Formats: sequence, C-alpha cells, structure tokens
Amino acid sequence: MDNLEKYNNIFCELFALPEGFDPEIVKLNETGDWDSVGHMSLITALEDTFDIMMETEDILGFMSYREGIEILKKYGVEV
Amino acid sequence: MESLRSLQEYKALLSSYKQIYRKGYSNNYLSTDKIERYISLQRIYFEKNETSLLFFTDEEKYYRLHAMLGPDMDMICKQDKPLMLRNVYREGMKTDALLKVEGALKQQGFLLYDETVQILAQPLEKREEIQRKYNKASSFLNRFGIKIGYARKKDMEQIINLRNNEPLLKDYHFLYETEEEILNDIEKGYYRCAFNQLEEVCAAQHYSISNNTLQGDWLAVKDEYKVRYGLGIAMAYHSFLYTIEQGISNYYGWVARDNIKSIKYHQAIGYELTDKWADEWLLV
Repeated sequence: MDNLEKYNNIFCELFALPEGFDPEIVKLNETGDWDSVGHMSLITALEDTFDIMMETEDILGFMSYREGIEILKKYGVEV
Repeated sequence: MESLRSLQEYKALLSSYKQIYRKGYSNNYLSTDKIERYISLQRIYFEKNETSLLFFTDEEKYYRLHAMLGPDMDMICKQDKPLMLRNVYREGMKTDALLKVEGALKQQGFLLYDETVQILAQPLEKREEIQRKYNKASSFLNRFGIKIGYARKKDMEQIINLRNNEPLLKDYHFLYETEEEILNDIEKGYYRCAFNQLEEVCAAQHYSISNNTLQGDWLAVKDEYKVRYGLGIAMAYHSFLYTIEQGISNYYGWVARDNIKSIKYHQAIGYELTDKWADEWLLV
C-alpha cells in the first residue's frame, strides 16, 4: 500500500467516507465525523501510520485533506 | 406578582390549589431546599386565581415559571423580564393537559425556542476504558501545554466571563447564583477547567450533584481552543473519572434534539439518549 492509499484509508475509516471521495470537500468541522473527537483520532492515526510526531502548530493547522498533504511533506512523508 | 415570604405560605398556597383543582397540568418541581433558597434571596413570587397557581423564580435576566394550571389557562402573561417555561415529558407521550398548555402558550405569544433530549452516561461500569481514553486525550492536550483541573477561587471571574461569552449558551440556560454560591461550588469541585501554559482558563464546565446523580450544567470553550485540541473530550473523561471516584452512578445532561452533530459527539464519548425530552418556551 503506498502512502496515498494509507492516507485515504485513514480518512475513510475515521470519517466514514466512501472510496473515491472528493478530497476538496474534506475539511475539519465540515465533514461528517471530523469534529474534535475525530481530529484527535486523525492526528494519532497519521502519526502512528507514518511514524512521525507532529508539531503543535501543524496539528492546529491541519484543517483539510489538502492541507494535511502539505503538512506531511514537512515530515518527509510524500502522499 | 406577590413575593413569597415563607415555606409555610408556599405550602398553604399548594394546599388550597390542590383542594380546588387536583387534575391538570404542572411543571412545578421545586424542592423544599430550593424554595427556601429563593425565599432567602427574595427571588420568588406568585400569582393565583380560582384554579391556577404560578410561581416565578427570578433568575436575574429572566423569570422561570413553575406553573400549576387548571382548565382556564390564560392567566400567564408578559412580565417585566422574559418568561421561560420548561416542560419535561417522555418521548412521544405528551398528555392532553400538556398539549392544551402548549396551545395556550402559543396564544399568549410564547415561542418554542429549545427542544432537548436527555443524555446519560454510566461511567462506573467502564473505569479502565475511560482511564485509557482520558490518558490519551490528556496526553494530546499536554503537547499544547494544556492541563485539566479543578477551578480555584481566583479563576471565578474568568469562568463567568467565559460562560457569559459562549455563543452556544443562552441566558435562559443559567439559574441565578450569588458570588458566594459560585465560590462554594468551586470549593466543592463542581467547576472544572482547562488551563493553558499561562494558567489562563481556556475552557470551563459546571455540574451539580444530588441523589447519587451528577447533572452537567454547561461547558464553555474559548473560541481559539475549540475543536482542534480535543478539550471537550478530555474534560468529559476527566468528569467521568470524577464520578467513578465519587461512586456516582449516573451522569446526565441535555442536548438540542436537532443538533445531530452534538448528539453523535456525545454518543461517541459514552452517552446514550434517554426517553426524556424537554421543551422550553419563551415569552419576551
């Protein structure tokens, strides 16, 4: 499984998104279960999956699927 | 309105009402200790006619109406402050009397402004799971230098400001409290806070305890700390651990029935919906 698949799987599992979901609409507090419970679970899942530890400013800045991809690059994870 | 001056007067009023009219509608659940408190604060009034009896508790920004109504239900009318009346009933089971009251309230100009459902958590049964979840949530918070703890007396002003400025909380959600009562509750550990690295209050929560039951009253979170920190979750699990320590069986709250997001959120952290619904009517 490549990084993109791992990344998408996390979103699908945590937020009950269908396969082939539209990434442009996946945003914090706008997408289904991506609330405060979901956000904490998302960060934890990403850190566990990609073996990284995000800085607090990046956790706070992680507000959408697209922003997440840019943030992961800072940790050497290309999605 | 007349001031209620003593518990004896209250009992006499109730007795005379019941002698004349036993059936009908009532949303008066004032306990003796609450009556005595309102009397000592001089914040309770009454009005009556041949078949109905109304008690008004002055909650500073509004009156809360505790009514016992006979067949003529038109005695409720505007006052010098907004008037709030709360009906609690089982889901799908409004009595004829309640339906009649609702019709009368609408005719008097009341608006149905809040419809809620009761939620219940029973943390005693899930200690290990809750401890694990709290450890995870507080560990996440610690990365931002935020800690959950009990409020101190010096936090009172920040707590009240936070509560009063929380857009999700309405004035009619709060009962009047004196400064002394708030400080007493702080001393008893009934206020929980999240503190940032500067020891500022970034979230606050209040609850009350009676009859082995904890009732969550409100939670307020500063805007800049909402959603991304998981503050609410950590405070919820901290509360659950508190109820376990105290040996309290039931932890109740109320959420808006049409707020699906809030309902799902509370279910995700361990609450279930009960079959108790409440409607709040407001006359401004």
